[in-house]
Amino acid sequence: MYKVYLFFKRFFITMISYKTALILGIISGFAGLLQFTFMGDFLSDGNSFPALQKYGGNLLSYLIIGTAFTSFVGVSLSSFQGTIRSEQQMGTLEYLLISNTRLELILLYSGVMNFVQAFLNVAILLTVVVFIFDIPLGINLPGALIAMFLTITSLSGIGLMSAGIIIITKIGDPITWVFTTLTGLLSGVLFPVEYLPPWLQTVSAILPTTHALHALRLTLIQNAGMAEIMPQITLLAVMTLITVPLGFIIVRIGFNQARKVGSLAQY
Amino acid sequence: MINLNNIQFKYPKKEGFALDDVSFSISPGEIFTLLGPNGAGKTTLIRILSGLILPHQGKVTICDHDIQLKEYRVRRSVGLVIGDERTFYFRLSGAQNLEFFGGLYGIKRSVLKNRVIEVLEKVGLQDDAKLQYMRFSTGMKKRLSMARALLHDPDVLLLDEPNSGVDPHSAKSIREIIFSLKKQDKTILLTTHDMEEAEKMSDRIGFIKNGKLIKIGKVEEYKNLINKKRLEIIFNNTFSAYDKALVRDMMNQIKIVSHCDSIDFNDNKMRISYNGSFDMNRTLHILSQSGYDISKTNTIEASLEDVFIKLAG
Repeated sequence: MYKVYLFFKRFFITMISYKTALILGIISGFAGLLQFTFMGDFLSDGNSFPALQKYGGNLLSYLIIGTAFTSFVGVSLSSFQGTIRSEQQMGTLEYLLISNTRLELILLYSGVMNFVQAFLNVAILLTVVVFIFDIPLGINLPGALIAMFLTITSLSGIGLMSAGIIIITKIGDPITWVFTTLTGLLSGVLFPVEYLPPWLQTVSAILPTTHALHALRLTLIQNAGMAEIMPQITLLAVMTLITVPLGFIIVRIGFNQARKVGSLAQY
Repeated sequence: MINLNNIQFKYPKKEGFALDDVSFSISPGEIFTLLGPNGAGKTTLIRILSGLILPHQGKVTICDHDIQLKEYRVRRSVGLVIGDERTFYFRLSGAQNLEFFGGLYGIKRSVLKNRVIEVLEKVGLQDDAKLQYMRFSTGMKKRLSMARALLHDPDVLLLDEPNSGVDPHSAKSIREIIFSLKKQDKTILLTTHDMEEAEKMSDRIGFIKNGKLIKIGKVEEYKNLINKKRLEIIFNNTFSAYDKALVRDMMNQIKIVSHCDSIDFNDNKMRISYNGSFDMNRTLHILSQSGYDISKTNTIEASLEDVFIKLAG
């Protein structure tokens, strides 16, 4: 029994030492619960799903694109901080940073690899699912690619900010968490935003991910033209222009701050 | 080639300076060794020189370039070896790792492959080029680390404990590489806890303690800091437990009359540490008269280790 106690003690001390992660984990649990509550409301509407008519009315295509979108959101937000963390753990970060390649480029090259991987995963998933379940898709490929590219770039800016913060704080940052949780809950990933209470619909309308996902669904399911998704594309382009430079500035500030306190290799 | 002027650095939440007003310079073709106890500031200094830590005060120039103003120019001139083994990608081979890092150093693709082969030969890893890094022994990892530091042919090498944890054979091979670099007029800053290595390799030694550089000098100058010597007396006698008790009494007597610092007795050997005022003849006379059969005596000079212990203490 004493050994069990020792394991419990080790677990407890470790758990409470990551206070931010502990609190965010608890809130995430509630957010997940809330997500399934809204989804339950949505599914109880029966087989017609009137809220999906603007996307052709097919539930499966709606959910698949929502899920694929979530994986791109995840990669965009966490790829850069993931690169820093994994290079720190491998002990290679310092050697990358003393090389003749700028930190921004190192992050960019690593990020591109993650996006390629995510893109291939999603492409395979979509192809397999579409053929197996015979899902009716009407694809405007150029429009979908532009929407996807701008979604990735605009969220990558936030991902870069998050990387800049993690270089200094060494622990999970709230930015990624907030965006991931809000996207899952409020952007219409698993159920239409119309099922949210009005005040949450207002929050949903502020989120760029809501508009990005709407544009993706229109171009992948309804073969929507560029004119139809122009408002969303413009919003994502403006967001990219703001978040990416700001992200690079915050990464540079984080890097220099870590050099000032001598904590670059610590994690 | 390397110039440090009044470097100061302090880690947050730690008392005292990690480096306090450190100044020295190293010339091309010189091996300068930093010695000091753990936490003295050696690694911090190496990280400052490699640009991984920014000093809070003072100026550092490498190859006449300020490391903060001409950061990327300086990076081209510096090769770094950190003592840690985990600084490569485990699933890549030795050659693939070097190709990756060489590319980041801006070595052109057309010359990189040959350069990788060249440095692998230099460190004696040419036959293991295709072996995954995770299958490398500690000695091979250290040599690969040395190979990476040499990839872009830097003028300055910062070697933080390049031989820690390796067997004598690998250590010798790394020492030979360092000597060959010295012959090529490279500027070498080395840190080590191996006093024998420091003694064999260093042109000059800097001793750092609590962030302060307390002395710079050649090995002999350090040894002159303490005039302590050791006399080793080997007896023909075999000692019973009763004899050993007598010897201990004898040792106390010698300590009083011969002005020595300390006496150790083990098996049939007596080691006496002493300084200038020690009366060796009288000691030997006491021992012979008491019936101890002296087989041999050796006088041992103070070692760098003795100096280290004195300075660090």
